[in-house]
Amino acid sequence: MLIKEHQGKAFLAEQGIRVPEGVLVSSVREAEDAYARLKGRVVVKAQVRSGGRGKAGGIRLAASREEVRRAAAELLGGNLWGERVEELLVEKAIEVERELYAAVFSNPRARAPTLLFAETGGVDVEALTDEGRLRQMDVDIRRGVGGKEVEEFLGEVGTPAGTRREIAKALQAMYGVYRKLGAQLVEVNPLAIARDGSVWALDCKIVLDEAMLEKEEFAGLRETKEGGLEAKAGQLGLAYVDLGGDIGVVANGAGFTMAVLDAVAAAGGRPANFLEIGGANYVKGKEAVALVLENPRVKALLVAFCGAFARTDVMVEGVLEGLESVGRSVPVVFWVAGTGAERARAMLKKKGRRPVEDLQRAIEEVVQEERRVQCS
Amino acid sequence: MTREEGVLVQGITGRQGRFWTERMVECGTRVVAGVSPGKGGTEVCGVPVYDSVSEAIKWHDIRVAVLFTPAKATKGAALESLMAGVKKLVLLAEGVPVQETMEILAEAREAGAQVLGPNTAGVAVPGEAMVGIIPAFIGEIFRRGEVGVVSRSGSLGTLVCMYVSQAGLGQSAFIGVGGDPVVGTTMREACTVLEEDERTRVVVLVGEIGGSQEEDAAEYVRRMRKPVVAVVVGREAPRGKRMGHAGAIVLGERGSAQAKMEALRAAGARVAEFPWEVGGMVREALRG
Repeated sequence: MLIKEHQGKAFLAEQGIRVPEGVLVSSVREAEDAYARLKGRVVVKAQVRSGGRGKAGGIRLAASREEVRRAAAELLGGNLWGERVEELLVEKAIEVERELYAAVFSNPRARAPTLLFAETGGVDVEALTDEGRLRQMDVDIRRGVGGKEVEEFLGEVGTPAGTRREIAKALQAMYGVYRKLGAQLVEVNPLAIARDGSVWALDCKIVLDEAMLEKEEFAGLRETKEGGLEAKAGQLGLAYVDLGGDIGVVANGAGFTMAVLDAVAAAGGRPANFLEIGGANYVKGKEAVALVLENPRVKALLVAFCGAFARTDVMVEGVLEGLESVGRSVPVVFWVAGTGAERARAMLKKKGRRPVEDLQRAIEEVVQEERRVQCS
Repeated sequence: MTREEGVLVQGITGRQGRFWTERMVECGTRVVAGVSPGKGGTEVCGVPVYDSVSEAIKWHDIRVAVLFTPAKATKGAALESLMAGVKKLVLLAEGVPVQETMEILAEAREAGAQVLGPNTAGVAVPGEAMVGIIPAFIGEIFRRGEVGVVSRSGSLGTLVCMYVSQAGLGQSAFIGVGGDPVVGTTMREACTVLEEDERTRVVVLVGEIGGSQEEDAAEYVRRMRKPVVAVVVGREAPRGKRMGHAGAIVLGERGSAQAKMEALRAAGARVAEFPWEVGGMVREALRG
């Protein structure tokens, strides 16, 4: 999960990295007040979790109260990549001499933390990768990174000797933030060198490991989604993604569920959601089905279980209970295989429901059911 | 993984530990001991339980440790096994913090140990042994055969094994590499094992969006002597959304199902659009 820039910068500042003086605001009036305090040239930045804010027009330079007012009025309440802008960070603009790229991330190939660095910053990491300008240094997670080591790495990369120490300090501090948060990624792009040689974090992107958010100390960073089914699912400990269609899906396991969604779409249906109750969540069939049917767009439901660890009999039992407790009835198509499938099928038959033998056929049936409901 | 290797179950007295220990024994696995702090001296379906790994290893020849511990206890339990000298670890838990996984893997590397997972279903050799949470005891899904299946997902891997069996074939091995972004054994490494395995004649890769394991595996597929069939899911996943697995995030074109399918196709693999096409494609691959 990506956290917002101002949250990330607070962690960087805590570890001793310079960040521009700034004020977090949520109204045009507050933005104007912030300008009165900061003066000169400022940057007005939309605080959303999506990346690519610059490209989407979410970052504006302003050199007067009037320009700040206009930028704030345009940005607040607007949308960036589908996310509503509710807060802006108004920051003092820094006179930049040189822009660099720096990041620490959990590298699946190295199976270790990796420092990334480029002498050119402010552009996409993808572009840097393609141009071969990104240098990397793997870290032994049990030992961490020493200042000397990083300075040597910077030397190899070609960083001028005079700035190596300051940049190395910033990289070490970023690694400190990465470890402290148990993050997947801490990226500062650009890391800027000012005219006086000081090093500044002008932007900050931190991706947290959702497994860390389970820990109480990080509770404050959890995303609080307002209302909506995704928020409700979050409270239930379920992974739910709204897909906008009208065929509800309850399945188990991320991989199997994605396979089912691909097939529903290929058969001409539009899936309403991603929702999986695999792993330890196999006992949540009742809650899952209630959640999916709470979406008023859902016209037909596909329940597909391929049990390994997740016992299909337990999941089906929950789903049947859920269907009875929900005050709304839609056509439901069942398909079951794997652990506990015999018992699951027997339970379905007892309730007068007929599981479809073949998964492909089950998917075709649910698409037909949805069409029938649409037409009637 | 063979029937000869002695297996230790960490977290054996929990509900899942008990249930799956029985299933593993049913599948032919030689489960020699279990560990559960404070429960030493008891038994779970005939398997002696110890308080610690170092205690268990005194009395038994332990080659593999499978961890039914919850995510937050996994690092401690894994390090305990590594310290005691166990050389193969299977980490089942979902939700182990990635940085903790990297700490385990750093220790394992130094100890010369192999790690499968975390967030894996484990490994199964039908008719021989199973370590983990794979329904290898269901005859309609898992049958002894010549198809090596590698999957990031346990449920989808199981489905694909079912289609392999329905095509009248069977599996030489099912290797779940795990759904986490950082895992101890990658798809590529699993491919190298199956390429060397005598019984395996075809390799099936079951991939999904996110990360670059499929692309990395594709580089190796190019050089493999054995034919490869692949299926990649998540084409309908919206950009940037997390689809259950932490590793399954599409960032731009990178890690998309389309890019992975293309890489595998370019490497000479037969790529299925849907899991139910895999059985037929494997038959075709066997015919040459």
